[in-house]
Amino acid sequence: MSELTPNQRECAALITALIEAELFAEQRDRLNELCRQDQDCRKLYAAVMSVHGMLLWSSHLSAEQEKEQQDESDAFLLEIYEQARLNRIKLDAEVELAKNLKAQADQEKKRRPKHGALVDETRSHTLIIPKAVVYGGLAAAILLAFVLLWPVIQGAGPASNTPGVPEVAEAGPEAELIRSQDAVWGQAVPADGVLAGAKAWSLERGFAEIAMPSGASVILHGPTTFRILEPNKLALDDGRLTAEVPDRAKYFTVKTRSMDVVDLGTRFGVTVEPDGVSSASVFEGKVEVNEPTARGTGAPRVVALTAGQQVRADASGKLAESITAIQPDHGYVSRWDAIQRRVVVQGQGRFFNTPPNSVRQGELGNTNRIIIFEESTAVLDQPLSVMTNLPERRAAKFATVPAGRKVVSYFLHSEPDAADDSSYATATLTFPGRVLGVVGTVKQLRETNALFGLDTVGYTPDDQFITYGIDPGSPDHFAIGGLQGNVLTIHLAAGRFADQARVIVELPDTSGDQ
Amino acid sequence: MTESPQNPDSELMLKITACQGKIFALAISMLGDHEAAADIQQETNLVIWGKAEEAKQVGNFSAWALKIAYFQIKNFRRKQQRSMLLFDSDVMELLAEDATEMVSSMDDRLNALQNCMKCLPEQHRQLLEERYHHGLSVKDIARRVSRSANNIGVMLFRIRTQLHNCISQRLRGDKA
Repeated sequence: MSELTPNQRECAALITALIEAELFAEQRDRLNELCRQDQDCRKLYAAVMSVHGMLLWSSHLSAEQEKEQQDESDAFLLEIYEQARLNRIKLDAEVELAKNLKAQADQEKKRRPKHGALVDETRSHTLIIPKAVVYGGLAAAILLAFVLLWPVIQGAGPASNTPGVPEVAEAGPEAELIRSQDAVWGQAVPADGVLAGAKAWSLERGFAEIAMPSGASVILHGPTTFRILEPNKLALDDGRLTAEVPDRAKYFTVKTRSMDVVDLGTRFGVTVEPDGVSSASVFEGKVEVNEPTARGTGAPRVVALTAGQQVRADASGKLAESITAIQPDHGYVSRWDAIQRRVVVQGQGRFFNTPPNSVRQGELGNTNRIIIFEESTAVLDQPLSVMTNLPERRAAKFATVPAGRKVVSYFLHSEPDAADDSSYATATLTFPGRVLGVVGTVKQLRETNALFGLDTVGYTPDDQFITYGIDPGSPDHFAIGGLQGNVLTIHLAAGRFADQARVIVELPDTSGDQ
Repeated sequence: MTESPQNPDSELMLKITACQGKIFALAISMLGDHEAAADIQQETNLVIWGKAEEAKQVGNFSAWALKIAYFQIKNFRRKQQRSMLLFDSDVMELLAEDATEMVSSMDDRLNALQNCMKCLPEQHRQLLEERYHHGLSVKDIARRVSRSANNIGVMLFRIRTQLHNCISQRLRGDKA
């Protein structure tokens, strides 16, 4: 890399940004200019993009096969990990188990034929082992060993000996501040939003969302004090948090003075009250709540909580005997979406905070998913006619929203794959306000009303595809499964043109723009 | 009596399948966008299938398919807003020569890539695995290993250039 000219170095940085989809307009123009003027930059671009393209293509070829096996192995891993923890197997035993499993897996791998049933040659008779078990076991062993030995791997991993690649000193775990609302911090937060693990962070009021190195997302409710202990472990000294943990960050742990809350694939909340009493509440999935081992009053208890359940521990760390139901007014912000006035999605929908820069045909790669994003917030400059065709009605419902009403528009896009309507995507969307209605048009959605469109989005620019909005009169490509207040269920079907729709929602008068 | 040929449609399908990677790689080089490249790939396939009779006659199918892909890329660009295009037309023409040359030899390059990856340090192979196989973003990887996203981005760039150099050396060696 030391041989690169200044132009090439700049070119390298721009190509990296391009590959990571973080190239801003000005940077794009600069890359354009460098490639026009500098042959070396063009050579570098062609070289790097060629390797990038081949790596993408290679990964694409194996993705579907891997996905099938991964699903099996994930389930198997979760099963054995839960079993191990619930039986109170100590860490040493777990490491031993992992090593044994790894050794077994290696042996199995050597014996495993490429296709068909798997034969255990150590038996005098033929033993047919289901492929799922062996593949699952292999992956589980490797993953379990990785999870358990991660601190060792991190601490003792070999240093890179690649010339030209600078070594980066291993720092303590850091979390990244993703966003905040009305946040007042007890200390200065670095401009890059990186929260070091060595110190206690105090959020005096407001909300903040941080991303743990493991991928777990944590919403902190001020006032609260917390510390990042490990890439997948956080200490909550006081206050309240809500955690949303993706699969890859399973076993994310929140440690308080009186309990350890271990994620088993879920969304949960933890509160530490001023008197030291802690409570854990599960909104989705499952967690395991442990009494602290330091209590010294016999074997620590472990409680498994499932969705809708809550357990408390007193200041000494003693877990309550009874598990209770979460109170409706529990006070947790269960999703950042809720405090940002964003739509909450269930079913096959996926909400994008930041919309893709294009919503053209093929955007979803023919999957039964709906992407949803907020387009714009506006005050109606003229009355808006809306109509919906509800399943319980024979005719469409017509309504007019008066001018001056503050509304927000949401864009829905889907590409189910079928030649007819037999394939469709369904989502139940909870909007932050009452659904006023839906827009039906044969024009591009952008043309329905300039107030609702988003400048950064291309609305199916190809003329050969007519873009429909929600068309209540003739459900060419969608059907409303239900609409009640702010909850809309919608089905978007295949077999038509671009499946795109717009939902208009009334903002509550008390809400201000973020 | 000559041996019965394969079903012509099946044969064409095999040829189309064999050049999918090249079409995708060319498109991503020209457009820089994964999703757009996938669109181009699909559209190119449709055009090739529509020209089935011609396709069965051409001598160098791969080169012919890449020409069609390049035409589709230009067609795609015409439909896009200027603000959504990566390169101006003149720059794309300049880049096309190098990109097409590399893509044309992609079969050999893919073989070389596999061998070159074996020579990478384990840490670098893991990084590629996370980025490409698991589809993690640089930010995701950075969070996972408690490093900065910039650091991971630089490392990935260097790995890609190392791989390119290794591939080029191997191909030169094979020719020698």
